Amino acid sequence: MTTASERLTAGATRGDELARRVEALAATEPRWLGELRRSALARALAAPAPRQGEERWRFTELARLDLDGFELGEGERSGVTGAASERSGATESAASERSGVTESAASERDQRELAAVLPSGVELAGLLVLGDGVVVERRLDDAAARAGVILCDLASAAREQRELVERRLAAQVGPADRFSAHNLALHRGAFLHVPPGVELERPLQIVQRTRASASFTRNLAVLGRGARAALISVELRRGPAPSLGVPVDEVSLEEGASLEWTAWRRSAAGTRALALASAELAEAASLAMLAVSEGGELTRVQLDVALAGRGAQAELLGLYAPGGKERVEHWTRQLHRAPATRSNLHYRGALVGESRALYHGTIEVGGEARRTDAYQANRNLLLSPRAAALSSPKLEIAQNDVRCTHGATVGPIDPAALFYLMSRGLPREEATALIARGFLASVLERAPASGLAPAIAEALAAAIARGGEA
Amino acid sequence: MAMEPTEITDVQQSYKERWGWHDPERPVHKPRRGLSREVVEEISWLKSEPEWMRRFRLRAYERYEQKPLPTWGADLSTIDFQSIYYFLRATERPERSWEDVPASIKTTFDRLGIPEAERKHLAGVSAQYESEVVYHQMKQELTSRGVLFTDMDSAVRDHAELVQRYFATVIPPGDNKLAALNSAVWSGGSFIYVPPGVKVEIPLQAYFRINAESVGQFERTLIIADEGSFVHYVEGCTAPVYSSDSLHSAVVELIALPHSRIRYTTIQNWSQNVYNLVTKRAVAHEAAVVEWVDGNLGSRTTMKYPAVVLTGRRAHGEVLSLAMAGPGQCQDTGAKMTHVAPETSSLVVSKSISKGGGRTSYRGLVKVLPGATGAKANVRCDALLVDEISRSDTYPTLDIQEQTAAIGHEATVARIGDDQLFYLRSRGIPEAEAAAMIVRGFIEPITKQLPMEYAVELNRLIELQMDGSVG
Repeated sequence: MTTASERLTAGATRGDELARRVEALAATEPRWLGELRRSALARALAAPAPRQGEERWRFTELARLDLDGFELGEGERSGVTGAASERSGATESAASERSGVTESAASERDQRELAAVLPSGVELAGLLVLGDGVVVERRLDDAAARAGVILCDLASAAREQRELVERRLAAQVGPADRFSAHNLALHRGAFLHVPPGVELERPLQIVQRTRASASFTRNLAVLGRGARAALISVELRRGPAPSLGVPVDEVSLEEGASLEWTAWRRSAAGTRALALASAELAEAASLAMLAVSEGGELTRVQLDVALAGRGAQAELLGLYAPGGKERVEHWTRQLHRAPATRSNLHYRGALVGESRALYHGTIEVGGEARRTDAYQANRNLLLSPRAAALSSPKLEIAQNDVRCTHGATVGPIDPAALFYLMSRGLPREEATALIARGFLASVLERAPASGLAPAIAEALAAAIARGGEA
Repeated sequence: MAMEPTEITDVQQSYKERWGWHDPERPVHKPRRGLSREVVEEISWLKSEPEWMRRFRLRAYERYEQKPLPTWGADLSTIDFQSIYYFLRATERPERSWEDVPASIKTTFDRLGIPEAERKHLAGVSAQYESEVVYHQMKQELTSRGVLFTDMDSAVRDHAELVQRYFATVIPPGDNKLAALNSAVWSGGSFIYVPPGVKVEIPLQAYFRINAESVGQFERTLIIADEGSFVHYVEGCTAPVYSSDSLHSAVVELIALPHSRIRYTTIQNWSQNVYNLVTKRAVAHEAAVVEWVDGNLGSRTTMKYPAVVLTGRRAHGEVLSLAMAGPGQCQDTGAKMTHVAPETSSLVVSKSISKGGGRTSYRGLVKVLPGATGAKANVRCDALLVDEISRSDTYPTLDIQEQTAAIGHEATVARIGDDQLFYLRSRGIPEAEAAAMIVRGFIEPITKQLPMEYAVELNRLIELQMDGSVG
């Protein structure tokens, strides 16, 4: 195998290797998906590299997201080539035929990591765990299976549920640029479908664990008309340092559908990620979302929420607690495209060490979106003298029958609050940690009840406690 | 420099098309369109400038050539930089008669109740009237206290030491393409120096100074407030100013030395053929205060972001900004605050109104550098959309690199509230009047900061513009 640097000297080789990978994936998939991959590949190779001077990349160190700089290995099954991919493809296919059963082929460490991200005290309606895109565990309870809920890998779904998948795959996150095109060409992922009218009381969970040097996972979730569900999606980025992940999430909510979505991104030290998430809401659909970004040397999350149908509403919450030299960026867009839509965004971060947080959010109200009510707030707590936050909330309003408000703050801990706690005998560090916890908890309390809140609160508190070391 | 006799095509062609009239031309030195090294040298030569200024202009010209136009903000692609006259002497400025002034502007004068003599000046129909005397009296009074208030060209000649020490120290030529352009071809503008401890009680108005010269296209203003002094400078006016120049690009530099205070008030109401692209920045030293009061009503496109660099401990910066965009207008305005020193504070209040398809944007930056401990900044932007076809954007950026800084930003975009209108109408106030009242209340935080006569005129102007826009 050639090294990344050797490949860089010969551009054609990179293209050949990408093509080989695409063909290996396409070999076991339906034709239309293969074609989709090939056209995305062409786009990935043709699309101009993003330039640092561009407004949307102005704050991001692009050199760290250089796609050509990472090996296209297979991570957990490193060294596996085309034939092996077919083999795993066959496994997936076999798995998808047996719903309601559990498959497990994971090490003890994997189990520990997995256990840490499972909700406590809440029984799941279904769980799908993928290791570098390959199904390692899958279960769905009988009630959900009987109701017609589909929770499986994307390739199987593409084969067996073409009419559900084809028109939605890449409909929101298509091959728009080099990153999204790479993902679409090389993706492996999960598919969730909740049929119209089905209301699930218990949450569904998708865990994507990645160990590869470059990973391109994808989740596609579709809720039919009037369906109701809770989804927990977890990214466990466990790649080497450095490694790069370009995960994609597409969520499609049909008329009146309602989704509670917890998206937890856990990245190991030294990993980098550019996450592209998108949700589209039809008439009267509603989305309540909590996005948590934890760890990683560089994490950039882009989230587009399109309120495309009358009366759609979205509650978007976000939490982050970068430490050390970590850098976390959230780019959100609340796209109001229909009348009487509502969105409410609240992102909060506590920064320690020499970390950097960027929030860049846009509320876009089109001319047709009358009676829009949109809110956007970003609050940053600087817990260390060397942490820094950049907040850039934007409003783009082309309709006057609206109420759009945003706010942003960056500041230290309130000395009065600190003094109060210390006067009660708490040491400074504990008082600080307690205030930071409370600061983040005010968002967590509003988040959809997924049973994960304690684990998330613990993880963020631990990140703050680790502070400058990471 | 040899002056090539160049072909003069009709300068006012575009205005003829637009307004149905144009100015006869009687050029003296045969100015040329477009910009080149030769034109820059010629400007300097015609002004008999010192060598350092000539070199400064040429360096700036090089930077202008290298710099790209901003790709963000308003659309500037329609400006044809090579069709502009970069220098016209006062005597070469086109004269026009009162009859040539568009009826819409005359009507506005009438309705604002502007005196006859002033109308002609505002319409660019030349004006030598009583204010000349006012200016001289004011000048005597100021001179006796050591205050220098003159045009920039004279200052380069007469106050070389001060000018050389401060000129372009706040806005270097390479700052942006338009600042570079201004640095290369600037002409006119004000120079003010206030000695230590002197407090100038009456606002200094550019209005009195420039009436003889007409307003320049590439003005350069430099104000230095020495320790413990105070000055309030007022530029522009609320009434529409008719300008035949399609590009106005000024550079304004303020230097507030320790414990001084500078207030700079601008009311801009250019006619709607003008691109108004201005770079304004101040440096505030220890415990100094700089306040920009900035009203933008006219022009086709304005891009203006008054800035304060707070370099001294406890320095304070303020921007109070008002923008109103009507049909075809784009007001891209904002504020920039850079906190460099500890305990600095800043406040930005921005109010914008869009109507008839107009577009307003707030674009701002609050930057707190490491070491600016205890810095405080607050940004408040409110936008009012009068109708469905208008647009308002808000682009604030907070870049905070200091833990102990407390920074806040808030913005709202809304329309005139039905409940507010209903309340006023239930009190017997007609809808249009009620709407104007609400707008007046909306912009009150800005108007109350203006000199009285400006505030009165501004309120009347807003009433005028709101006429028939609600209902």
